[in-house]
Amino acid sequence: MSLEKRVIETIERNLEKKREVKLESRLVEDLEADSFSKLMIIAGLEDEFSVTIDEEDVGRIEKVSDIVENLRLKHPEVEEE
Amino acid sequence: MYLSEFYNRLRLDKSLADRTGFNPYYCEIRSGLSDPIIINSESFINLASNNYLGLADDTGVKESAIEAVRKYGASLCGTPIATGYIDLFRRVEERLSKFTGLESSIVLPSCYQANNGLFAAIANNEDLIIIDHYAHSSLVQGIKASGCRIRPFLHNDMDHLSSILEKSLKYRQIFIVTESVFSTDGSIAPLKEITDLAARYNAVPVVDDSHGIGVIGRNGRGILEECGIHHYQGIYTASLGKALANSGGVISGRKDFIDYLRYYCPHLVYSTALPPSILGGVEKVLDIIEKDFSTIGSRMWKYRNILNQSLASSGFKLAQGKAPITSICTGSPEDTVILAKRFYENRVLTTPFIEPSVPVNEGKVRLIAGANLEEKTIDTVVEIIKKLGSEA
Repeated sequence: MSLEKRVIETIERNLEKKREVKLESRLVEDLEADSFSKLMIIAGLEDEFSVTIDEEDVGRIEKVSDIVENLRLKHPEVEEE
Repeated sequence: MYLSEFYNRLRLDKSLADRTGFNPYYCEIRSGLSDPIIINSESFINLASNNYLGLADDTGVKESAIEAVRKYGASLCGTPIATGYIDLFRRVEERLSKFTGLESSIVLPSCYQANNGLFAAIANNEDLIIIDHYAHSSLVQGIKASGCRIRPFLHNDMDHLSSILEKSLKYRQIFIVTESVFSTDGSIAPLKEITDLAARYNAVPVVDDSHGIGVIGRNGRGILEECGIHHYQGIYTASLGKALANSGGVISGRKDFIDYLRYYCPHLVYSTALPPSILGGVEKVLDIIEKDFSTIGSRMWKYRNILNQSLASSGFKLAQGKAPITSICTGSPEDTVILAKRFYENRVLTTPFIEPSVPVNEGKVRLIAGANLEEKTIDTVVEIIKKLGSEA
C-alpha cells in the first residue's frame, strides 16, 4: 500500500464522522479537526508507522499532504515498509 | 503603548452576537430557580439549568441551608485541613460515599477544582491519560496541567480505546478518563466496558459523574448504579451543583487513596472549605433523593420524553442521548444562537452550545426540564415547540 493511502486511511480511522479524506484536505477547515482530533490523528500515525512526530512539525501541518511530506523527509524508512 | 496592544489582543469578539442580534450568555436572572424564573421583569420557563430534580428552590433544602448558617455561620474561613472541617463537612463526605457506593470522599469548592486538582495530584510526565474526545473542559484542563501524555479516543468507541491501550506499554501508569453523561448531547459512557478494559490493561478508570449523580440509575445514584458496577476500584468525581442542587465537587474512591488526596490535592488543601449553607443543602438533597427519587425522577423522565417527542414531531433534529437531556442539533454557531433566540423570544430559556464546547459546526441547543416544573408549563413548552417548528 502506498504511503499516501496509509496516511489517508489512518486519518479516516481517527475522525468521529465518516469523511472523504484527500491529500489536499485541510485538517481544520475541511476535516473540521479540533485540537483533540489532531492529537488523535498524530498519535494514530505514530502507531501506524512506529515513529514519533516532532511537536514542532505537528504545528506546521495544515494539509494531509504536509503529513506525507513530513514522513518522507523525517522518516524515510516508512516508505520501505 | 505596550498596554494598549495587550488589551486590544484580549478584546472580546462580539461579532456572533452582532450577526444574530442576540447574546445568550450572562443573562441576568432576578429570581431563584422557580417556575417561572424572572428575566427583565418578565416570566420565563427555565429549560437551561442543570436543576434536574428541581431541588434548587425546594423549601426543605433552603431551610436546611439556613439552619446550617444559624449553627455554623456564613463561612468557615479556613481550608478543610485547617478550620474548615466541621462535623457537617465530614457527614456530607460520608453521605456522598454511601450514596454512590464508594469507600471515601473529599469535597471541594467545585467539580472544576476537583477535576483539576485530581490530576495535579496523581499524574506527571511518566503517565498516559487516555480520554474520551468529548470529555468536559475541566478534565481536559486538569490533565493538560499535569504534564502527562494525552491520547484522546473516539467518543464512546471501545474498539478505538482498546487499540490505544494495546499500543501503550511504556508508561508508569495509564488512566482512562471519561464523563458518565456527556452534557451537550446526553450520551452515556459504557462504563462497564471501560472498567473491564481498564482491568485488562492495569489502567485506572476515572469517571466524572456530574450529569449522572442524582439523575441516572434506578435510585438516582449515578453511573455506577446505572451500569451495575459494584466494588468500583477507580476514581469518581461529580458536581454537587447539578441534580444535587447546591455547589461544590466531590472526589471519591478507595479510602487509602482519598486519605492521600486529603493531604496532597492542592485544590483541596489550599481552598477555603465549602460554606455551611452548601453543606446543609447537600445533606438535605441527599435525604430527599434517598426518600423520593422514584416520584421526582419519574417526573424528570416524563418531561424529558414529552420534550423529545414534541421536538421530533415538529421536525427538529435531536441528538440521540439516553439521559434526561434534550439536545437539538443546530449546526453552525449562527443557527444555534438564532434558535436559542427564537425560544427566548417565546420566553423559554435554553442553553446554546457552540465550539469549542462542541465540535466545529455541531452546535446544539440543550433543554433540561427540571422536575420542579408544573405540567402546565410543559404543556406551554409543547405549544411553543409546535409554533417554532411550523415557522422553520
